[in-house]
Order: sequence, then structure tokens, then C-alpha cells
Amino acid sequence: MNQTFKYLEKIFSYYHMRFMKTPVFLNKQKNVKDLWPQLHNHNQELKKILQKSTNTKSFTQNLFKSAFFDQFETIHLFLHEKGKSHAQHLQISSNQCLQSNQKITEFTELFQAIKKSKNRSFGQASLKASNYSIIGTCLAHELSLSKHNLIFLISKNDFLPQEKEDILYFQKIIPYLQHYYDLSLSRDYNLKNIEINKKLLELISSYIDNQDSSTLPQNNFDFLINDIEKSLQKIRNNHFTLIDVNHHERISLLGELLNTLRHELSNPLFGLQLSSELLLSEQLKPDQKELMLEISKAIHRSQEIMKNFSDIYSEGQGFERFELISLIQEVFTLTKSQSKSIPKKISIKSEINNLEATQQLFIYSHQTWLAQIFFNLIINSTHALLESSTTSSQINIDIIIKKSCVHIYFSDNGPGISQSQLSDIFKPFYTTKETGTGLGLAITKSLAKKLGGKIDYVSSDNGAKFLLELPYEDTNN
Amino acid sequence: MRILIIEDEILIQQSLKKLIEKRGFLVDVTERGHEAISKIEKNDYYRIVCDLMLKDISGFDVIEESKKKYTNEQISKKFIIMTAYSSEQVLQKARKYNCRVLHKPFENLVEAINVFTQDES
Repeated sequence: MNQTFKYLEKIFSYYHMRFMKTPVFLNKQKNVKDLWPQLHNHNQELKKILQKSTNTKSFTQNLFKSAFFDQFETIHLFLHEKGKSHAQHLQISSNQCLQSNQKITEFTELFQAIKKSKNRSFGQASLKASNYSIIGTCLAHELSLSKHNLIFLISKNDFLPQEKEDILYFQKIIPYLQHYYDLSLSRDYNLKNIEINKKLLELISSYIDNQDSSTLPQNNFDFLINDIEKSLQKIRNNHFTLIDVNHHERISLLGELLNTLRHELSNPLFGLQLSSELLLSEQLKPDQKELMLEISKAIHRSQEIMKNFSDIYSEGQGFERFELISLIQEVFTLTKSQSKSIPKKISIKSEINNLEATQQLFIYSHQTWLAQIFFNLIINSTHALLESSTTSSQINIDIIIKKSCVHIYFSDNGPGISQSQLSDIFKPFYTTKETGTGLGLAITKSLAKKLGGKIDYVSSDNGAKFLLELPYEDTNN
Repeated sequence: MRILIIEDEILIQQSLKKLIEKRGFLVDVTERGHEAISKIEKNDYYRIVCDLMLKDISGFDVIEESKKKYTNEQISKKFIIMTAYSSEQVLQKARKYNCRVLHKPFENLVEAINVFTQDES
């Protein structure tokens, strides 16, 4: 009784659905063969559908929506990966897409029944169709692919006997389906493998980087898997990890380059220095002496620049005490090729004592990271100033010494940043420049955080203005 | 008294030669380690100023070869090592010979020439 009721309920809901879909009840449907001319090139059509689908599920959904199955109400796809204990059942109709697992015994039973049948047309009673929410008669076909067995089942959700044309049509497209499902499933497989390998590579390398080799457990792989899980979570949670890696690579590459340059240039520079000093110790005419002094100065300046560059980008450098103003001036030199035409001013004020005359400020921080922050800010301002038609452009760095921190206001008189862009400027990969990476300010923010400080945009009447806050301890008192 | 300068950067080599000659020394120069070894065999030098990175062999190889002629103590007084790339590894090796090490570029040229020409005090 109960089962009969359920059955009636299904029939009722089917007619209800059908009624909602087609205003004229049991409207005589367009014959399938009318569609054939549209599908004169099956291969081309199926290829297009496969290309716009991301996986086999979406391929089946797109297939259902296409002209291939326009005449059918429901598609069932039973998919069994050889060797697995379960098969997947995908049920697609115009208003829903359901996915469930199916026991392998049921799958095999269905597969064999279809294989044995002659015309592969089934009524409600056969195939235990009601078990799979199949209403009415249906057409079925089993496919055996390289790594999968597949059952394809299409239904018009009615109880009329299958039309000959439909049976013919279905048989005609089966070889195409076989080919394209094979392609789609191997694509799924490859994508999954690529994804897994990519993650494993990332995780294993970060695992090795982060672990002291002596602490690696000998036979405990659970430990390794746990750590991989943790790292995976970290990667998901922290999108800055990627940026840091990117930044670290850039810095170490630059450091390597500068080291090579230093090695190659320091010897010849030293030769020049020695020979100029030798010449200066000779009896020279006044104009010769003047020239030699200039040469000597130029050599000295080159040596200083070499030294400062490699100090800024030296590897393995940590937190230390250094003078901030000369660091900023070194960064000015670093960016000279681009920002030469823009005047730059540094000012220092102290709120702790009234000593305004100080031109030096010793802080405890990380030279390389801080230099990178100033570098990014100067380059950004320079690009903005040079692209805009700003007259008498200017970059100002105003330092205010507070009790436990230093406020560094970095400002320019360029076009500034519009209100709509403000929320995005620190986001990675956000850029307004054609060739920009969108990493500059994201890296800057990440570095400021690493220094124990922070950087924010502050509103300004004229141009762009950033406030960099760094921890500071007054060692003079 | 003779001083030998082993240095492959010609400007450094020639400038040092002239600066030391001004102090009244005879100066031999070479840019190759093998040539330096044969010069050391033939002549008796008061000082041997030796760069570490030479065109053919390293300055350490020259010192090792000189052990045939000089005792360890003589080597520690005669040889003065010059280097531009003072990694900890290099410094450690240099300390083994107990020689004085000067970093290029010299911080103070006059003092460097003093080291080359005067007795340790």
C-alpha cells in the first residue's frame, strides 16, 4: 500500500512538473529526427561542449542542455571507476542535478541487464527503474572505457513506448559519447594529478625548508602527513605566503647579482684607487692634480655604492642597529636612474625632546626589508609623478620620533589614490599599471608587519601619503 | 732587500710596486702562481705579498710549495696575504699559516705599505 502510494506520488509529481514546463498538457513533441540536420557535425559540437566544461559532471550537464538531448527530460549517468567499491550516479533534469553513490553490485546488475538487452529500451518495471527515480520508459546504453564503466540512461519521463527514431538516434550518437567521455574522464584524471603533484611539491619543499633534518622522524609517516595537512591549511589561510616566497626569491636573486657585481668590480676599482693615490703622490701640475682628485673622488664614491648595495641586500642579515637617514639616502641612490628628476626631502622631528637639529636616527630594525619598503614607495611615487603632468614634483619623507615608535610619513604631490581604489591598493595582484605585478604594496605591507610595525594610507589634500609606523626605543636617555 | 708581489690585477700590482719602490725596496712582480713559485725558489725575498685568487693556482698553493724552502715560522713572517673576498673559510685557512691578512680595498694605504715593508713590532 505504502509503495503504491509512493509510486502514485511520483507519477503525480511528474505530471505536475511536466505541466509547469509545458503549458499544453501532453503536447505532441517535435520529432527527434527534425533535430538531425542541426547536428550534422557531431564531432565539432561535442568538442565545443567538452571545451567549455571543466569536468565530467559539467560536461554531462552541458550535454543535457545541448541540442543532442533536447528531446529528453532526464539523463542518468552511472559512472564506475574500475577498482573502486562505489559507482557515482548523476541525475540531471532541467531543474536539478543530483549526485549520489551507488553500490557496485547494483551497478554491475544494471550494466549486465543493459548489455544483454537487444534494443536497449526499457519500461518502468524492468531495470528496477524506480530505484533510480526513473519515471516511465527509457533508453539505456552501457559503455566500457579504458578506466571506467559507464551507463547512460535517457528518459522522456513518459510512459509511451520508445519511438523508433529515438532508438536509432541514440544508437547513432553512442560511439561519439564513448569517445568524448573517454576524453573528459582522462582530462579529469590528469587535472587531479597535476593538482595533487603541485601541492605535494610545494608542501614537501616547504616542509624540508622548515624542518631541522635531525628532527625528521625515521619511520613515522603519520607525522609527515600531519605536518603536510597543517602546511596545507596554512597555505589556504595565508595568501601572503606566496607573496613572501616571491619576494624572498627576488631579494636573494638581487643579492646574488649584487655580490657578483661587487666581486667583479671591487678589484679593478681598488686598482684604480691605488694608482690614483700613487699619481697624487707624484709632482703634478695644479690642473693635473685637480683632475686626479676628481678621479679619486669618483672611485671612492663607486666603492661606497658597491659596499652599500651589498650591505642592503646581504643574505642572512638580521635585525641590527643602524642609521635610518643614510639608509633612505642609499635607497635614493638605488632609485636614481628612475627618480633623478624628482627632488626628495627628509625631515626629522622629535616629540620626546626638543632636539630638532638631529640629522641622524639610529633604529633597531632590518635593513634589507626596510630598504625594500622605501624602494617600493619611491618607485610607486616616481611612476605616478612622471606619468601625471605634475609640475615641480616632490617626494617628502617626514620622520617623527615618538616615545615608543617612529612615524614616517611618505608623501608625494602626484595625482594621489582615488577613493574607489583605496580598499584594493594593499591587495596582492592589484595594479593599475600595464606592466605592474601588483605585488609592490602587498609586499610593503607584509614587510612592515614583519618589522613589527604597520603601513597605512592616510588621506591628503595633495598627492599620495603613507604612514609607516616602526617600533623605536630611545637609547639616548 | 727584495719584495715579491703576486697579484693578477695589473693596476694593483703596478701601483703597489711603485709605492713600495719609493720606500727603497727592489720589487719583483708576477700575476701567475707557478711563476711566483719559481721566483721564490731562485731568490730570497724579505716579503712576499700574495693575492689569493690568481689566474692559474691559488695563493695557498704558492705558500704550500714554499714550505720546501722555508720553515713554518719563516712563512708566517714572510707571507702577507691579500684578499678581496674574506669568507670565514678563507680566513680560517689563512690563520693556519699564521700570516697577516690584508683586506682589499685597504682601509689605510700608508699602514698597508708599512705592513709590507717594516718588521713586526
